Amino acid sequence: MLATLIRFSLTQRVFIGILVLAVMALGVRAWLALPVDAFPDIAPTQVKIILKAPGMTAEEVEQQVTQVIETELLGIPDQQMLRSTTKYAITDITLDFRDGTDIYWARQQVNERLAGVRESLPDGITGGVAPMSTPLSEMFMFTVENPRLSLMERRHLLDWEIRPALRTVPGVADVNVLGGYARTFQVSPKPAMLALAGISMETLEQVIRDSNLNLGAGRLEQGNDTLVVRTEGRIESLQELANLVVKVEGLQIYRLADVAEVTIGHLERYGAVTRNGEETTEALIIALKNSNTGEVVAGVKRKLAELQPSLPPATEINVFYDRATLIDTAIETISNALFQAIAIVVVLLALFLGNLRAAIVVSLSLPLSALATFYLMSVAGLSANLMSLGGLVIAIGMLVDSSVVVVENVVTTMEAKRGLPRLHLIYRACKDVALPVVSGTVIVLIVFSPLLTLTGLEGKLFTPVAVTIVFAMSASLLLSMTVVPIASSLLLGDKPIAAPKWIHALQRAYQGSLETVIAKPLVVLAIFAALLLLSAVMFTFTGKTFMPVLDEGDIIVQLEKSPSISLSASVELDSQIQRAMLDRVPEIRQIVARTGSDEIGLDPMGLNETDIFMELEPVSQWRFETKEELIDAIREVLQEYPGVNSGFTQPIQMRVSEMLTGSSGDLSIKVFGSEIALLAMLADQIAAITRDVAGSVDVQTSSIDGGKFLSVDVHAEVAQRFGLSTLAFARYLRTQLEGLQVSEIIQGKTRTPIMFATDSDAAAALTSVNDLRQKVMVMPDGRQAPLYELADVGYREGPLIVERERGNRFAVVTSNVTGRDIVGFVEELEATLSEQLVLPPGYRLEFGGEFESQQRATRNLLLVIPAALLLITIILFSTFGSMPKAALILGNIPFAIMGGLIALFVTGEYLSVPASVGLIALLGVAVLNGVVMVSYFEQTRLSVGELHQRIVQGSVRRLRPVLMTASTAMFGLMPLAFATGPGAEIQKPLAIVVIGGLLTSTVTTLYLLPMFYYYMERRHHG
Amino acid sequence: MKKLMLGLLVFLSAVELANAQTVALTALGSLELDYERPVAVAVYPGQPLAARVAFRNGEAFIVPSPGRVQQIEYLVEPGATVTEGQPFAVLRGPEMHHFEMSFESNRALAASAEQRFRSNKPLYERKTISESLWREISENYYTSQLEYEHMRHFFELVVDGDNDPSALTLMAPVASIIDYQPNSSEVEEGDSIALFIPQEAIRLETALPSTIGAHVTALQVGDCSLEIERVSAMTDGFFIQAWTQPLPMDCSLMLGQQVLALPFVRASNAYRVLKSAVFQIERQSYVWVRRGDNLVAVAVTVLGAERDGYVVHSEVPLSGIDTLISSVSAVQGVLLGLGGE
Repeated sequence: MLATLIRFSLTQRVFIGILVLAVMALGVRAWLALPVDAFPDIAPTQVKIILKAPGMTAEEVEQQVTQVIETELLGIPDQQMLRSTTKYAITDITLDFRDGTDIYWARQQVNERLAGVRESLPDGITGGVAPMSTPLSEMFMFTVENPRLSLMERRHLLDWEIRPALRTVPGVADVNVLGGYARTFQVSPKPAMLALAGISMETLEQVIRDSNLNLGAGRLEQGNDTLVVRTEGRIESLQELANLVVKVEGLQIYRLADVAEVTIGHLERYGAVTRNGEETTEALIIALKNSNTGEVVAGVKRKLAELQPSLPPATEINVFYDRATLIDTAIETISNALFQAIAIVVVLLALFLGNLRAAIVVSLSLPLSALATFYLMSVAGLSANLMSLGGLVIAIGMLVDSSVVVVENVVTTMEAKRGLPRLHLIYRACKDVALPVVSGTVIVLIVFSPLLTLTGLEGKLFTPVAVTIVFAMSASLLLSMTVVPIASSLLLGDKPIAAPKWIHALQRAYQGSLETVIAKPLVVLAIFAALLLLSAVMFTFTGKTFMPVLDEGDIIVQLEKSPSISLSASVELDSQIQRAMLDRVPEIRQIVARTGSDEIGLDPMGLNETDIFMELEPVSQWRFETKEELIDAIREVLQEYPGVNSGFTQPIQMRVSEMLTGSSGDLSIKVFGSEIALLAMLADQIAAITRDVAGSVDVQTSSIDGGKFLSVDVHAEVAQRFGLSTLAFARYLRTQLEGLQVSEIIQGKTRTPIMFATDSDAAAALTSVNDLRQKVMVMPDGRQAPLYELADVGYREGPLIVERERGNRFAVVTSNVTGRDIVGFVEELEATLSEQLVLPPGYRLEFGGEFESQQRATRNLLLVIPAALLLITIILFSTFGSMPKAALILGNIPFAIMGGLIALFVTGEYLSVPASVGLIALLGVAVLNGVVMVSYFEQTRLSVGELHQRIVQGSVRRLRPVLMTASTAMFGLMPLAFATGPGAEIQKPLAIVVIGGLLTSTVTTLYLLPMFYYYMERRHHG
Repeated sequence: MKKLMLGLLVFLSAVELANAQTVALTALGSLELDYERPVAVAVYPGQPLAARVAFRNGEAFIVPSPGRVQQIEYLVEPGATVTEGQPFAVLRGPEMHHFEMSFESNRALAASAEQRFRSNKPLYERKTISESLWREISENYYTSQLEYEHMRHFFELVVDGDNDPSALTLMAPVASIIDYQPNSSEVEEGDSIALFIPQEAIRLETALPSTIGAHVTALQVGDCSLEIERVSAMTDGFFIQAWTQPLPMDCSLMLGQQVLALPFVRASNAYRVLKSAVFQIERQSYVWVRRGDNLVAVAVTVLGAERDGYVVHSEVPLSGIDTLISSVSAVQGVLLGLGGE
């Protein structure tokens, strides 16, 4: 079949040429149309429910809302994880489905279940299924600055001008608006006046609701016409609201303004945004799941540019986070590595082949393979990202392998057998190497197949790598059997191509050294055995981690303050810290900090929690060499602010961590149990123990306990005498504290709620417990009574946060790990915890975070790699028909891995998932080199009878292709190994492992393999 | 087991807290530490109350009608300030003539009764007339005198020189605020034609919550501060009736006006501190005070709130002592064990 394909290509060159042009065109088109992103879509199929339960404590929300919904959701099939975070007035329930579950089906299931329990939830619960986004959907953030506008005006601008416009951009799931003051029409009832006028709060509320209406009355037929009749009572301005008649008694007309203050107010604030220490307003663009990040960001920017002229003068859209910047820099890094790799490979080919034309023929497979890969990526729905393009870079060195073998054989054949027809020679040369080339490539494909079995985050990250490599290698194989023979026939001249002189010199030197090694094998064996042992020792000292941290270019500092802190105190403290950071760390260009919860509730932080985004100056302006040093400088500043917990992360890193474990940090230690106070105590103990383990930084325990609530217990026997129910009582109190929406005013496209609320500056505002006790209430019958006569006011304690996984409560301790590997850290921590921590019955620990992913990845690979090796063995056996020979080739693998491990140790890199992928790649390269070498020994078995001569000559003959394939693979990865831009961190360990492994495996292929083959054959033949 | 551990946890927390309510200034790094010295105060503001501009019973002059009046034309509006002798109403109708006739006849009857009384008095002293006859003469005399005086007092308020026999013009008995029911259709004998409330009788009436009633010293309405003058010793449900001192002229409040008044409650060991100074741990409010190189948490009770401050009660004297007003929550965080890495 292979011979037929080669023959067909050589006889139908025009047809194949047209096909190549078509593939090129499709490839270019695909490259231009491929979605571009920094990462592959690593989010699972995830559906989030966010419900707001105003006024309810975390425990109440858990009991009355979270548990009810969780019980219902647990029945949904294909779910992997059910997680919830319940805080004061909000619950956030996340359901992860198995990979491959259709998101629309999943959302429908969740919606149906939610609808089923809606009626059993308490009144006043709002919210539902969150926008169809992923944790990585927060792709663009900006603040709105205008010194002429108040915070309320800026918020209004965002809510009603900018947000609606941005929501029309394709791919935008929602626009989360934060900070500032959301305007309301505020009605602050005067209880005394209401009492004097004999108007109850309920009446007042009802009057506003019933008056603020436009209703249709039907149609009036007048002659031949129909007139629509409407009753119009909609209030359209503050003045109209103030003038609303609430009671008429004789000639006395009571208007709303007579019994209440009617002013412009604002919604209760659950969060704030500060920029460089000053309050501001922020918008956060959330992209739809599976949208094209690059296009969405571009669309948002276009829309903002369109809006700019219509915004009030002096309005500045201050962008402080733009995912496109990361994408651009990451793609630039990887693209640079790609182009540099191509250039290096082409130069190497020219050097080895000693002929530019031959080099061009081989090099042709690079762009053509790349374009074919882009086309296949677009067909498979892959985006161009760090991982998929990284796969292409990894493959660059191997892409030319097939072509190198083919062209090298063509050149050699043409030189050796002059006089025969040119096309015939090419056909013969190609046919001779077709089988080893195909089996070698298949072996490489099999080697990468374990990556396709990875699950979880690592699977989502490395499946695109494996798929891209498979696409590229398959394309290059096909090209080597079709286009390369054609190109050889067209481009290689009639003159024989002699190997360059330096190759001859190298071959002579190699021959001499090989003969020495075969003659005195023990010395070489001893050296390699020692190196093998050394690498094993190095392995034990090499740190293990899940994934190198991608430098996103931005820094986030997470702050946690006293759990009961007020928003104003929290903002004041944040501002202090921000000012200090700006003063002391000139590398920070600007700081935007988000305190408390966002509007939608996607990130329901407490008032004591702050995420500080830092936009940094260009690296060239830094005083430091690395980002780590910069982080240390910032950490120094933070350490001068005691009483505040702090941790470092990055925008994507934070969300990925939260996605994995529901919390951020390299490692999360979860303690499961039922009693919140006990969980909190255990978490504190775990945190203390963790802090003592070397390498721990940013150890944090979320404050789950210690919530203080003022409990107002109504004296029913007194309240009922006035017709005051607990519900009415609670609603009355809400008007005094949080505010109660009674209606809304529609002005054009603006909808402003009418709230019963009390201005916090007013004398009647409740600002202390004593105020609350003394508050004079208006009863439904219009009479008054002080609150202390109607209810007891006391303190009650309860959880601040209730976190649950699969219906079980837990507390979490998070830690980042620095200066050592995470696996070693966890092992030490586990040992320490088992010694020092006593868990009560029913309580258990779980380690999560990146560690969990790392462990899972290791388990998966340890299961699948042996299977891949078995497959390779079968292929080798079927190729050579000999188990010892197959074993001989497989014996090259430990030496390849040895080099990889030594390289890791020497460069100080950890053994991570990318490094493991590098080791897997080494299996392929090592086996491939062995195949190239042994297959030649086998081919010349009949032509060269003497064993020693056959092996030495065969090895010398194969020196060039072995060196070419090894050096192209090795040097092709050099740009990746030395790349420094964002995105380089992930592929760097892989490149280092492959380079190191190739070095040792090439040496073993050139020396140990012939030596072992020699002795094996000699013994075999007696 | 779990309960035991929980109890132990609570106990340990309490012990730890009790021992740890001092924070060294040196441990506070670069936190901005601003201080203010609390000021001792004698009162604190409570929650606003409804109050009414009114007068106490017995402090107003009432001009009663001597008979049924069909028509009254008031010359001044209710609530207007009138001077003594200022005409305030004209009574019209045929009965006005009857009033005058009645007054004249009363005067004649009174004169006649007086004459009879005087002439019979010596006879009675000499026991010339019987006891029962003298009693009858005396009763007749005093009754006619009373009726006459009653009419006379009314007619003292009638402006002289009105030639219309069917109209009587009345004048104010004292300088005061006049009050009457403008819409009453008929006035019967004995009904009030108008009330005359002297300025010094006008004050605020309010209902104080019974728990603080005895401690409220003053009410404030706008810029007008009025001391509480009298507090009822009885409660009316949840409230106690209270009256302030008379309103000064510059209070600009109208009689009958309903207002929101801010009560000021008497307090001992009370201090005014900024709101940003107060924090809470374990159900207790505290402020941080500087003692040497340390900040010490001093327990306080928040009594009331002002615009940006609280009035707190403290057993520890706070006057003139530096009290932390910034970064308070961070220092609280130190106490809770936050930070410190």
